[in-house]
Amino acid sequence: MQQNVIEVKNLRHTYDNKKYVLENISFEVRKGEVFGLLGRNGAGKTTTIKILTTLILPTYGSVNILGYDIKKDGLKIRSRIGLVQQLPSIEFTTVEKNLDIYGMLWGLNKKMRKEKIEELLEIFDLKNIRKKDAIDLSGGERRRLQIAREFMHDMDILFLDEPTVGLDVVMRRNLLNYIKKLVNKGLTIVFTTHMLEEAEYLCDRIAVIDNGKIVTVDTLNNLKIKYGGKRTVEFKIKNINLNELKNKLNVNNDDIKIVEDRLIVLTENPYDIVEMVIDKVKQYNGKIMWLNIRDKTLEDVFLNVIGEENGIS
Amino acid sequence: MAYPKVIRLILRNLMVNSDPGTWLILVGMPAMFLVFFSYGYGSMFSALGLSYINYAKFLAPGMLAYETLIAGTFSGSMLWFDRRWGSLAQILAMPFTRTDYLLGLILSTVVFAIMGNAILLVITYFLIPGINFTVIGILIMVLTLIIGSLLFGSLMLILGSYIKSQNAYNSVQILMIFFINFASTVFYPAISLPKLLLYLFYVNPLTYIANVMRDGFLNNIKINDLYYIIILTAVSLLLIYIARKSYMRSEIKFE
Repeated sequence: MQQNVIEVKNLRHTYDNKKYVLENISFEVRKGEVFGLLGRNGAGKTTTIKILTTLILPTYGSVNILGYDIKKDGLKIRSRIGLVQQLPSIEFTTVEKNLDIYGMLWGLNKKMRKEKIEELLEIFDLKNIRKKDAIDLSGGERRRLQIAREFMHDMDILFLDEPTVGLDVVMRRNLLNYIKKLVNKGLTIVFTTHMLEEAEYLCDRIAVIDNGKIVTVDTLNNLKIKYGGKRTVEFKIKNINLNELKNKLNVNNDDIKIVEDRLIVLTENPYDIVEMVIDKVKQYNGKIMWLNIRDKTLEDVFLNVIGEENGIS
Repeated sequence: MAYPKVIRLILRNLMVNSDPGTWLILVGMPAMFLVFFSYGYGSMFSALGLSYINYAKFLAPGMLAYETLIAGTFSGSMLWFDRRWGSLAQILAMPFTRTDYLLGLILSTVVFAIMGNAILLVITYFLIPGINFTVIGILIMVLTLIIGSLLFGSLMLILGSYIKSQNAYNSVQILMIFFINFASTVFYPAISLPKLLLYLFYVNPLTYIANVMRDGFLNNIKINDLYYIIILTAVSLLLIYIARKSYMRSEIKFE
Protein backbone atom coordinates (compact mmCIF):
# COMPACT_ATOMS: atom_id res chain seq x y z
CA MET A 1 0.00 0.00 0.00
CA GLN A 2 1.28 3.48 -0.87
CA GLN A 3 2.35 5.73 1.95
CA ASN A 4 0.18 8.77 2.77
CA VAL A 5 2.09 12.04 2.46
CA ILE A 6 -0.87 14.19 3.47
CA GLU A 7 -3.42 13.31 6.12
CA VAL A 8 -6.22 15.75 6.85
CA LYS A 9 -8.63 14.96 9.67
CA ASN A 10 -11.79 16.86 10.63
CA LEU A 11 -10.44 20.15 9.35
CA ARG A 12 -12.57 23.22 10.07
CA HIS A 13 -11.71 26.80 9.36
CA THR A 14 -13.28 30.18 9.91
CA TYR A 15 -11.84 33.60 9.11
CA ASP A 16 -14.31 35.61 11.20
CA ASN A 17 -15.47 33.22 13.95
CA LYS A 18 -18.95 33.33 12.42
CA LYS A 19 -19.05 31.27 9.24
CA TYR A 20 -16.99 28.16 8.66
CA VAL A 21 -15.48 28.13 5.18
CA LEU A 22 -14.29 24.55 5.71
CA GLU A 23 -16.48 22.04 7.52
CA ASN A 24 -15.00 18.78 8.80
CA ILE A 25 -12.82 18.02 5.84
CA SER A 26 -10.92 14.71 5.90
CA PHE A 27 -8.83 13.12 3.16
CA GLU A 28 -5.45 11.55 2.47
CA VAL A 29 -3.04 12.01 -0.39
CA ARG A 30 -0.73 9.16 -1.34
CA LYS A 31 2.89 9.47 -2.35
CA GLY A 32 3.36 10.02 -6.07
CA GLU A 33 -0.27 10.67 -6.94
CA VAL A 34 -1.96 13.67 -8.49
CA PHE A 35 -4.76 14.59 -6.15
CA GLY A 36 -7.35 16.99 -7.50
CA LEU A 37 -9.48 19.35 -5.45
CA LEU A 38 -12.41 20.12 -7.65
CA GLY A 39 -15.05 22.68 -6.83
CA ARG A 40 -16.89 25.80 -7.82
CA ASN A 41 -15.54 29.27 -7.12
CA GLY A 42 -15.55 29.91 -3.37
CA ALA A 43 -15.97 26.23 -2.50
CA GLY A 44 -12.98 26.26 -0.14
CA LYS A 45 -10.18 24.99 -2.40
CA THR A 46 -7.79 27.89 -1.88
CA THR A 47 -8.35 27.96 1.89
CA THR A 48 -7.52 24.24 1.96
CA ILE A 49 -4.32 24.91 0.00
CA LYS A 50 -3.36 27.80 2.31
CA ILE A 51 -3.72 25.52 5.32
CA LEU A 52 -1.81 22.66 3.69
CA THR A 53 1.04 25.02 2.78
CA THR A 54 1.04 26.41 6.36
CA LEU A 55 0.17 29.93 5.22
CA ILE A 56 -2.71 29.90 7.70
CA LEU A 57 -3.40 27.65 10.65
CA PRO A 58 -6.71 25.78 10.80
CA THR A 59 -9.27 26.68 13.44
CA TYR A 60 -9.85 22.99 14.27
CA GLY A 61 -8.63 19.61 13.09
CA SER A 62 -5.30 18.01 12.37
CA VAL A 63 -3.14 18.10 9.26
CA ASN A 64 -0.08 15.95 8.83
CA ILE A 65 2.25 16.55 5.91
CA LEU A 66 5.18 14.24 5.22
CA GLY A 67 4.83 13.03 8.81
CA TYR A 68 4.94 16.55 10.27
CA ASP A 69 2.18 18.37 12.12
CA ILE A 70 1.41 21.71 10.43
CA LYS A 71 0.88 23.43 13.77
CA LYS A 72 4.35 22.52 15.07
CA ASP A 73 6.58 21.87 12.09
CA GLY A 74 5.65 24.49 9.52
CA LEU A 75 9.26 25.24 8.66
CA LYS A 76 10.15 21.58 8.05
CA ILE A 77 7.07 21.17 5.88
CA ARG A 78 7.77 24.31 3.87
CA SER A 79 11.30 23.17 3.11
CA ARG A 80 9.86 20.17 1.23
CA ILE A 81 6.91 21.64 -0.62
CA GLY A 82 6.28 24.02 -3.49
CA LEU A 83 3.33 26.31 -4.16
CA VAL A 84 1.99 27.99 -7.25
CA GLN A 85 -0.59 30.44 -5.97
CA GLN A 86 -3.81 31.26 -7.72
CA LEU A 87 -3.03 34.97 -7.61
CA PRO A 88 -0.20 36.31 -9.76
CA SER A 89 3.08 36.67 -7.93
CA ILE A 90 6.15 38.19 -9.53
CA GLU A 91 9.15 40.26 -8.64
CA PHE A 92 9.56 43.55 -10.50
CA THR A 93 12.69 42.65 -12.39
CA THR A 94 13.55 40.66 -15.53
CA VAL A 95 12.31 37.14 -16.22
CA GLU A 96 15.80 35.72 -15.75
CA LYS A 97 16.38 37.64 -12.53
CA ASN A 98 13.01 36.46 -11.18
CA LEU A 99 14.17 32.87 -11.57
CA ASP A 100 17.59 33.70 -10.14
CA ILE A 101 16.17 35.43 -7.05
CA TYR A 102 13.86 32.51 -6.41
CA GLY A 103 16.73 30.03 -6.70
CA MET A 104 18.81 32.19 -4.36
CA LEU A 105 15.99 32.28 -1.81
CA TRP A 106 15.88 28.49 -1.92
CA GLY A 107 19.61 28.38 -1.21
CA LEU A 108 20.82 27.17 -4.62
CA ASN A 109 24.38 28.12 -5.52
CA LYS A 110 25.16 30.22 -8.59
CA LYS A 111 26.11 27.26 -10.82
CA MET A 112 22.99 25.29 -9.97
CA ARG A 113 20.83 28.37 -10.52
CA LYS A 114 22.36 29.01 -13.93
CA GLU A 115 21.73 25.45 -15.11
CA LYS A 116 18.19 25.36 -13.77
CA ILE A 117 17.34 28.76 -15.28
CA GLU A 118 18.41 27.61 -18.78
CA GLU A 119 16.36 24.42 -18.42
CA LEU A 120 13.23 26.23 -17.25
CA LEU A 121 13.47 29.04 -19.81
CA GLU A 122 13.42 26.31 -22.47
CA ILE A 123 10.60 24.22 -20.97
CA PHE A 124 8.32 27.16 -20.31
CA ASP A 125 9.10 28.93 -23.58
CA LEU A 126 10.57 31.99 -21.86
CA LYS A 127 13.90 32.12 -23.70
CA ASN A 128 12.94 34.96 -26.03
CA ILE A 129 11.71 37.13 -23.17
CA ARG A 130 14.42 36.34 -20.65
CA LYS A 131 15.63 39.95 -20.48
CA LYS A 132 12.15 41.44 -20.46
CA ASP A 133 10.87 43.08 -17.26
CA ALA A 134 8.16 41.01 -15.60
CA ILE A 135 5.94 44.10 -15.41
CA ASP A 136 5.89 44.25 -19.24
CA LEU A 137 4.84 40.62 -19.72
CA SER A 138 1.39 39.55 -20.84
CA GLY A 139 -0.85 37.76 -18.34
CA GLY A 140 -0.01 34.35 -19.83
CA GLU A 141 3.73 35.06 -19.84
CA ARG A 142 3.63 36.12 -16.21
CA ARG A 143 1.78 32.96 -15.34
CA ARG A 144 4.38 30.87 -17.14
CA LEU A 145 7.13 32.65 -15.24
CA GLN A 146 5.33 32.12 -11.94
CA ILE A 147 5.01 28.39 -12.61
CA ALA A 148 8.55 28.02 -13.98
CA ARG A 149 9.95 29.73 -10.90
CA GLU A 150 8.50 27.07 -8.63
CA PHE A 151 10.53 24.39 -10.36
CA MET A 152 13.80 26.10 -9.43
CA HIS A 153 13.92 23.89 -6.34
CA ASP A 154 13.38 20.22 -5.54
CA MET A 155 10.36 19.22 -3.50
CA ASP A 156 8.28 16.25 -2.38
CA ILE A 157 4.84 17.82 -2.79
CA LEU A 158 3.77 20.55 -5.17
CA PHE A 159 0.57 22.50 -4.54
CA LEU A 160 -0.91 24.01 -7.66
CA ASP A 161 -3.79 26.38 -7.05
CA GLU A 162 -5.54 26.80 -10.39
CA PRO A 163 -2.17 27.00 -12.17
CA THR A 164 -3.38 27.11 -15.74
CA VAL A 165 -5.57 30.21 -15.48
CA GLY A 166 -4.42 32.59 -18.22
CA LEU A 167 -2.41 30.01 -20.17
CA ASP A 168 -3.12 29.25 -23.83
CA VAL A 169 -4.06 25.73 -24.92
CA VAL A 170 -0.56 24.73 -26.03
CA MET A 171 1.14 26.01 -22.89
CA ARG A 172 -1.55 24.45 -20.74
CA ARG A 173 -0.97 21.05 -22.31
CA ASN A 174 2.83 21.51 -22.03
CA LEU A 175 2.49 22.26 -18.34
CA LEU A 176 0.23 19.29 -17.70
CA ASN A 177 2.65 17.01 -19.55
CA TYR A 178 5.60 18.41 -17.61
CA ILE A 179 3.73 17.76 -14.37
CA LYS A 180 3.00 14.19 -15.49
CA LYS A 181 6.71 13.69 -16.14
CA LEU A 182 7.58 14.89 -12.64
CA VAL A 183 4.91 12.67 -11.11
CA ASN A 184 6.55 9.70 -12.84
CA LYS A 185 9.73 10.64 -10.98
CA GLY A 186 7.88 10.46 -7.63
CA LEU A 187 6.55 13.98 -7.07
CA THR A 188 3.16 14.26 -5.36
CA ILE A 189 0.81 16.93 -6.67
CA VAL A 190 -2.19 18.56 -5.07
CA PHE A 191 -4.03 20.37 -7.79
CA THR A 192 -7.05 22.64 -7.53
CA THR A 193 -9.05 23.55 -10.57
CA HIS A 194 -12.52 24.24 -11.80
CA MET A 195 -11.44 23.16 -15.30
CA LEU A 196 -12.79 19.65 -15.47
CA GLU A 197 -10.87 18.49 -18.53
CA GLU A 198 -7.60 19.29 -16.74
CA ALA A 199 -8.55 17.29 -13.69
CA GLU A 200 -9.62 14.44 -15.96
CA TYR A 201 -6.30 14.55 -17.83
CA LEU A 202 -4.09 14.76 -14.78
CA CYS A 203 -5.63 13.51 -11.55
CA ASP A 204 -5.40 10.01 -10.11
CA ARG A 205 -7.94 10.77 -7.42
CA ILE A 206 -10.36 13.63 -7.10
CA ALA A 207 -12.07 15.23 -4.12
CA VAL A 208 -15.17 17.21 -5.00
CA ILE A 209 -15.51 20.11 -2.58
CA ASP A 210 -18.62 22.22 -2.24
CA ASN A 211 -19.62 24.81 0.36
CA GLY A 212 -16.59 23.91 2.45
CA LYS A 213 -17.37 20.20 2.58
CA ILE A 214 -15.79 17.28 0.77
CA VAL A 215 -18.70 15.68 -1.04
CA THR A 216 -16.80 12.69 -2.40
CA VAL A 217 -13.24 11.42 -2.89
CA ASP A 218 -12.36 8.66 -5.32
CA THR A 219 -10.58 7.70 -8.53
CA LEU A 220 -12.00 9.14 -11.71
CA ASN A 221 -13.31 5.74 -12.85
CA ASN A 222 -15.06 5.06 -9.57
CA LEU A 223 -16.59 8.52 -9.59
CA LYS A 224 -17.87 7.92 -13.10
CA ILE A 225 -19.40 4.63 -12.03
CA LYS A 226 -20.93 6.16 -8.89
CA TYR A 227 -22.05 9.52 -10.23
CA GLY A 228 -21.66 9.50 -13.99
CA GLY A 229 -25.28 8.61 -14.72
CA LYS A 230 -26.25 6.88 -17.97
CA ARG A 231 -24.03 6.78 -21.03
CA THR A 232 -25.16 8.05 -24.40
CA VAL A 233 -25.20 5.88 -27.54
CA GLU A 234 -25.87 7.63 -30.85
CA PHE A 235 -26.71 5.97 -34.19
CA LYS A 236 -26.98 7.28 -37.73
CA ILE A 237 -29.02 4.75 -39.70
CA LYS A 238 -30.04 4.59 -43.39
CA ASN A 239 -32.94 2.85 -45.19
CA ILE A 240 -35.14 2.55 -42.11
CA ASN A 241 -37.79 4.68 -40.43
CA LEU A 242 -36.30 5.78 -37.13
CA ASN A 243 -39.69 6.15 -35.43
CA GLU A 244 -40.56 2.55 -36.32
CA LEU A 245 -37.21 1.34 -35.10
CA LYS A 246 -37.61 3.30 -31.87
CA ASN A 247 -40.90 1.54 -31.15
CA LYS A 248 -39.40 -1.87 -31.82
CA LEU A 249 -36.50 -1.46 -29.37
CA ASN A 250 -37.01 -2.66 -25.83
CA VAL A 251 -35.94 0.66 -24.20
CA ASN A 252 -37.72 2.89 -21.71
CA ASN A 253 -39.38 5.72 -23.66
CA ASP A 254 -37.67 8.39 -21.55
CA ASP A 255 -34.25 7.04 -22.51
CA ILE A 256 -34.64 7.08 -26.30
CA LYS A 257 -35.13 9.99 -28.67
CA ILE A 258 -34.64 11.04 -32.25
CA VAL A 259 -32.66 14.19 -32.90
CA GLU A 260 -32.56 15.17 -36.62
CA ASP A 261 -31.30 12.02 -38.37
CA ARG A 262 -29.86 10.39 -35.26
CA LEU A 263 -31.22 7.90 -32.78
CA ILE A 264 -30.00 8.63 -29.24
CA VAL A 265 -30.24 6.12 -26.38
CA LEU A 266 -29.31 6.70 -22.72
CA THR A 267 -28.25 3.48 -21.01
CA GLU A 268 -26.22 1.88 -18.26
CA ASN A 269 -25.19 -0.91 -20.70
CA PRO A 270 -24.20 0.62 -24.02
CA TYR A 271 -22.87 -2.62 -25.54
CA ASP A 272 -26.22 -4.43 -25.04
CA ILE A 273 -27.98 -1.53 -26.75
CA VAL A 274 -25.54 -1.61 -29.66
CA GLU A 275 -26.15 -5.34 -30.09
CA MET A 276 -29.92 -4.89 -29.94
CA VAL A 277 -29.93 -2.07 -32.51
CA ILE A 278 -27.63 -3.99 -34.90
CA ASP A 279 -30.02 -7.00 -34.77
CA LYS A 280 -33.10 -4.87 -35.48
CA VAL A 281 -31.41 -2.89 -38.25
CA LYS A 282 -30.35 -6.14 -39.93
CA GLN A 283 -33.86 -7.56 -39.55
CA TYR A 284 -35.39 -4.56 -41.37
CA ASN A 285 -32.62 -4.30 -44.00
CA GLY A 286 -31.29 -0.99 -42.71
CA LYS A 287 -27.68 0.14 -42.59
CA ILE A 288 -25.82 1.67 -39.68
CA MET A 289 -23.72 4.52 -41.10
CA TRP A 290 -22.16 5.67 -37.85
CA LEU A 291 -22.36 5.05 -34.13
CA ASN A 292 -20.84 6.71 -31.11
CA ILE A 293 -20.72 5.69 -27.45
CA ARG A 294 -20.01 8.76 -25.39
CA ASP A 295 -18.08 8.02 -22.24
CA LYS A 296 -19.13 9.52 -18.92
CA THR A 297 -17.15 12.67 -18.36
CA LEU A 298 -15.97 14.32 -15.19
CA GLU A 299 -18.39 17.09 -16.05
CA ASP A 300 -21.27 14.61 -15.75
CA VAL A 301 -19.86 13.43 -12.42
CA PHE A 302 -19.34 16.97 -11.16
CA LEU A 303 -22.78 18.17 -12.12
CA ASN A 304 -24.39 15.09 -10.59
CA VAL A 305 -22.42 15.37 -7.34
CA ILE A 306 -22.91 19.11 -6.94
CA GLY A 307 -26.53 18.76 -8.07
CA GLU A 308 -27.24 16.09 -5.46
CA GLU A 309 -25.55 18.15 -2.77
CA ASN A 310 -27.58 21.23 -3.61
CA GLY A 311 -30.84 19.43 -4.35
CA ILE A 312 -30.63 20.21 -8.08
CA SER A 313 -31.55 17.48 -10.56
CA MET B 1 27.06 26.80 0.94
CA ALA B 2 23.88 28.87 0.98
CA TYR B 3 23.76 32.20 2.82
CA PRO B 4 21.81 32.34 6.11
CA LYS B 5 18.09 32.83 5.58
CA VAL B 6 17.83 36.46 6.66
CA ILE B 7 20.80 37.38 4.43
CA ARG B 8 19.02 35.72 1.48
CA LEU B 9 15.93 37.80 2.21
CA ILE B 10 17.99 40.99 2.46
CA LEU B 11 19.69 40.21 -0.88
CA ARG B 12 16.29 39.63 -2.42
CA ASN B 13 14.97 42.93 -1.08
CA LEU B 14 18.00 44.79 -2.41
CA MET B 15 17.79 43.10 -5.83
CA VAL B 16 14.08 43.77 -6.21
CA ASN B 17 14.03 47.31 -4.82
CA SER B 18 17.26 48.80 -6.16
CA ASP B 19 15.74 50.73 -9.03
CA PRO B 20 16.75 54.31 -9.97
CA GLY B 21 13.63 55.69 -8.26
CA THR B 22 14.70 54.16 -4.96
CA TRP B 23 18.13 55.77 -5.17
CA LEU B 24 16.68 59.08 -6.24
CA ILE B 25 14.59 59.21 -3.09
CA LEU B 26 17.26 57.72 -0.86
CA VAL B 27 20.21 59.83 -1.96
CA GLY B 28 18.88 62.41 -4.39
CA MET B 29 16.46 64.07 -1.99
CA PRO B 30 18.84 64.58 0.97
CA ALA B 31 21.61 65.54 -1.47
CA MET B 32 19.36 68.18 -3.03
CA PHE B 33 18.40 69.53 0.40
CA LEU B 34 22.07 69.63 1.30
CA VAL B 35 23.23 71.43 -1.83
CA PHE B 36 20.30 73.84 -2.26
CA PHE B 37 19.85 74.68 1.40
CA SER B 38 23.60 75.03 2.06
CA TYR B 39 24.02 77.51 -0.79
CA GLY B 40 20.54 79.00 -0.52
CA TYR B 41 20.61 79.76 3.17
CA GLY B 42 24.35 80.30 2.80
CA SER B 43 23.68 83.37 0.65
CA MET B 44 21.39 84.65 3.39
CA PHE B 45 24.10 84.07 5.98
CA SER B 46 26.69 85.75 3.69
CA ALA B 47 24.53 88.86 3.83
CA LEU B 48 24.97 88.70 7.60
CA GLY B 49 28.70 88.22 7.17
CA LEU B 50 28.69 84.43 7.88
CA SER B 51 30.09 81.71 5.63
CA TYR B 52 27.73 79.12 4.07
CA ILE B 53 30.12 76.48 5.44
CA ASN B 54 28.83 76.88 9.00
CA TYR B 55 25.28 76.05 7.97
CA ALA B 56 26.46 73.26 5.65
CA LYS B 57 28.34 71.75 8.58
CA PHE B 58 25.15 71.86 10.62
CA LEU B 59 22.92 70.56 7.85
CA ALA B 60 25.11 67.70 6.53
CA PRO B 61 24.81 65.47 9.63
CA GLY B 62 21.12 66.40 9.75
CA MET B 63 20.76 65.00 6.25
CA LEU B 64 22.60 61.82 7.29
CA ALA B 65 20.02 61.47 10.08
CA TYR B 66 17.18 62.25 7.66
CA GLU B 67 18.48 59.42 5.48
CA THR B 68 17.67 56.92 8.28
CA LEU B 69 14.05 58.10 8.18
CA ILE B 70 13.88 57.80 4.39
CA ALA B 71 15.47 54.32 4.45
CA GLY B 72 13.07 53.37 7.24
CA THR B 73 10.07 54.14 5.05
CA PHE B 74 11.26 51.45 2.63
CA SER B 75 10.35 48.67 5.08
CA GLY B 76 6.66 49.62 5.09
CA SER B 77 6.66 50.15 1.33
CA MET B 78 8.34 46.79 0.72
CA LEU B 79 5.75 45.08 2.91
CA TRP B 80 2.94 46.71 0.95
CA PHE B 81 4.53 45.88 -2.37
CA ASP B 82 5.08 42.24 -1.40
CA ARG B 83 1.46 41.97 -0.31
CA ARG B 84 0.12 43.66 -3.41
CA TRP B 85 2.11 41.48 -5.82
CA GLY B 86 1.77 38.13 -4.05
CA SER B 87 5.44 37.87 -3.07
CA LEU B 88 4.65 37.85 0.65
CA ALA B 89 2.52 34.70 0.51
CA GLN B 90 5.07 33.13 -1.84
CA ILE B 91 7.96 33.82 0.55
CA LEU B 92 5.96 32.62 3.55
CA ALA B 93 5.30 29.33 1.73
CA MET B 94 9.10 28.84 1.62
CA PRO B 95 11.25 27.75 4.57
CA PHE B 96 11.24 31.22 6.15
CA THR B 97 9.48 32.24 9.35
CA ARG B 98 7.43 35.43 9.68
CA THR B 99 10.21 36.77 11.91
CA ASP B 100 12.82 36.01 9.22
CA TYR B 101 10.75 37.97 6.73
CA LEU B 102 10.28 40.98 9.04
CA LEU B 103 13.93 41.00 10.05
CA GLY B 104 14.81 40.83 6.36
CA LEU B 105 12.74 43.97 5.75
CA ILE B 106 14.10 45.90 8.73
CA LEU B 107 17.71 44.95 8.07
CA SER B 108 17.31 45.82 4.39
CA THR B 109 16.46 49.35 5.50
CA VAL B 110 19.70 49.39 7.50
CA VAL B 111 21.65 48.35 4.39
CA PHE B 112 19.86 51.01 2.32
CA ALA B 113 20.67 53.60 5.01
CA ILE B 114 24.35 52.61 5.10
CA MET B 115 24.68 52.75 1.31
CA GLY B 116 22.77 56.04 1.09
CA ASN B 117 24.81 57.58 3.88
CA ALA B 118 28.09 56.48 2.26
CA ILE B 119 27.16 58.29 -0.96
CA LEU B 120 25.98 61.33 0.97
CA LEU B 121 29.24 61.47 2.91
CA VAL B 122 31.20 61.58 -0.35
CA ILE B 123 29.03 64.50 -1.55
CA THR B 124 29.52 66.20 1.81
CA TYR B 125 33.27 65.77 1.60
CA PHE B 126 33.37 67.76 -1.63
CA LEU B 127 30.78 70.30 -0.51
CA ILE B 128 32.42 71.24 2.77
CA PRO B 129 36.12 71.91 2.36
CA GLY B 130 38.54 70.90 5.09
CA ILE B 131 36.23 68.55 6.96
CA ASN B 132 38.02 65.93 9.05
CA PHE B 133 36.46 62.75 10.33
CA THR B 134 37.76 60.77 13.30
CA VAL B 135 37.45 57.02 13.77
CA ILE B 136 35.36 57.42 16.91
CA GLY B 137 33.19 60.00 15.15
CA ILE B 138 32.58 57.65 12.21
CA LEU B 139 31.80 54.76 14.58
CA ILE B 140 29.24 56.89 16.44
CA MET B 141 27.69 57.95 13.12
CA VAL B 142 27.47 54.35 11.82
CA LEU B 143 25.98 53.15 15.09
CA THR B 144 23.44 55.98 15.06
CA LEU B 145 22.42 55.34 11.48
CA ILE B 146 21.94 51.61 12.20
CA ILE B 147 19.82 52.33 15.26
CA GLY B 148 17.92 55.09 13.44
CA SER B 149 17.05 52.94 10.45
CA LEU B 150 16.01 50.05 12.73
CA LEU B 151 13.79 52.46 14.63
CA PHE B 152 12.11 54.03 11.60
CA GLY B 153 12.03 50.71 9.72
CA SER B 154 10.04 49.17 12.58
CA LEU B 155 7.81 52.22 12.94
CA MET B 156 6.88 52.09 9.25
CA LEU B 157 6.25 48.34 9.49
CA ILE B 158 3.75 48.98 12.30
CA LEU B 159 2.08 51.54 10.07
CA GLY B 160 2.13 49.16 7.08
CA SER B 161 0.60 46.38 9.16
CA TYR B 162 -2.40 48.39 10.32
CA ILE B 163 -3.32 50.57 7.35
CA LYS B 164 -5.52 48.67 4.95
CA SER B 165 -5.11 50.54 1.67
CA GLN B 166 -1.95 51.40 -0.16
CA ASN B 167 -3.09 54.95 -0.95
CA ALA B 168 -3.82 55.59 2.71
CA TYR B 169 -0.45 54.13 3.63
CA ASN B 170 1.36 56.39 1.14
CA SER B 171 -0.48 59.48 2.39
CA VAL B 172 0.19 58.75 6.07
CA GLN B 173 3.81 57.94 5.28
CA ILE B 174 4.38 61.25 3.47
CA LEU B 175 2.71 63.15 6.31
CA MET B 176 4.87 61.37 8.86
CA ILE B 177 8.07 62.05 6.90
CA PHE B 178 7.26 65.78 6.81
CA PHE B 179 6.24 65.92 10.44
CA ILE B 180 9.17 63.89 11.83
CA ASN B 181 11.62 65.71 9.58
CA PHE B 182 10.56 69.28 10.25
CA ALA B 183 9.80 68.82 13.96
CA SER B 184 13.40 67.81 14.56
CA THR B 185 16.85 69.32 14.66
CA VAL B 186 17.67 68.11 11.14
CA PHE B 187 17.42 71.58 9.55
CA TYR B 188 17.65 73.93 12.51
CA PRO B 189 18.63 73.84 16.20
CA ALA B 190 15.92 73.53 18.84
CA ILE B 191 16.50 76.92 20.41
CA SER B 192 14.14 79.83 20.96
CA LEU B 193 11.14 77.72 19.99
CA PRO B 194 7.64 78.08 21.43
CA LYS B 195 7.14 75.54 24.24
CA LEU B 196 4.74 73.30 22.33
CA LEU B 197 7.11 73.01 19.37
CA LEU B 198 9.97 72.38 21.76
CA TYR B 199 8.10 69.45 23.30
CA LEU B 200 7.43 68.07 19.84
CA PHE B 201 11.10 68.35 19.00
CA TYR B 202 12.11 66.50 22.15
CA VAL B 203 9.71 63.57 21.80
CA ASN B 204 10.83 63.10 18.22
CA PRO B 205 13.54 60.40 17.95
CA LEU B 206 14.94 62.08 14.83
CA THR B 207 16.03 65.01 17.00
CA TYR B 208 18.29 62.70 19.04
CA ILE B 209 19.50 60.84 15.96
CA ALA B 210 20.39 64.18 14.32
CA ASN B 211 22.08 65.50 17.49
CA VAL B 212 24.25 62.41 17.99
CA MET B 213 25.04 62.26 14.27
CA ARG B 214 26.06 65.92 14.40
CA ASP B 215 28.33 65.36 17.39
CA GLY B 216 29.98 62.42 15.61
CA PHE B 217 30.32 64.43 12.41
CA LEU B 218 31.86 67.45 14.12
CA ASN B 219 33.91 65.28 16.49
CA ASN B 220 32.19 66.80 19.47
CA ILE B 221 31.09 63.65 21.30
CA LYS B 222 29.58 64.12 24.75
CA ILE B 223 28.42 61.76 27.48
CA ASN B 224 24.81 62.66 26.62
CA ASP B 225 25.30 61.08 23.20
CA LEU B 226 25.92 57.74 24.88
CA TYR B 227 22.67 58.05 26.86
CA TYR B 228 20.79 58.98 23.70
CA ILE B 229 22.22 55.93 21.91
CA ILE B 230 21.11 53.66 24.76
CA ILE B 231 17.59 55.16 24.79
CA LEU B 232 17.31 55.01 20.99
CA THR B 233 18.43 51.35 21.05
CA ALA B 234 15.79 50.52 23.68
CA VAL B 235 13.08 52.32 21.67
CA SER B 236 14.19 50.50 18.48
CA LEU B 237 14.01 47.08 20.16
CA LEU B 238 10.57 47.92 21.55
CA LEU B 239 9.38 49.03 18.11
CA ILE B 240 10.78 45.85 16.48
CA TYR B 241 8.79 43.84 19.03
CA ILE B 242 5.61 45.87 18.39
CA ALA B 243 6.16 45.62 14.60
CA ARG B 244 6.28 41.82 14.83
CA LYS B 245 3.15 41.72 17.00
CA SER B 246 1.30 44.13 14.71
CA TYR B 247 2.25 42.18 11.64
CA MET B 248 1.10 38.88 13.17
CA ARG B 249 -2.23 40.41 14.19
CA SER B 250 -2.85 41.89 10.77
CA GLU B 251 -1.67 38.92 8.74
CA ILE B 252 -4.87 36.91 8.41
CA LYS B 253 -6.82 39.93 7.24
CA PHE B 254 -4.47 40.57 4.38
CA GLU B 255 -3.77 37.06 3.07
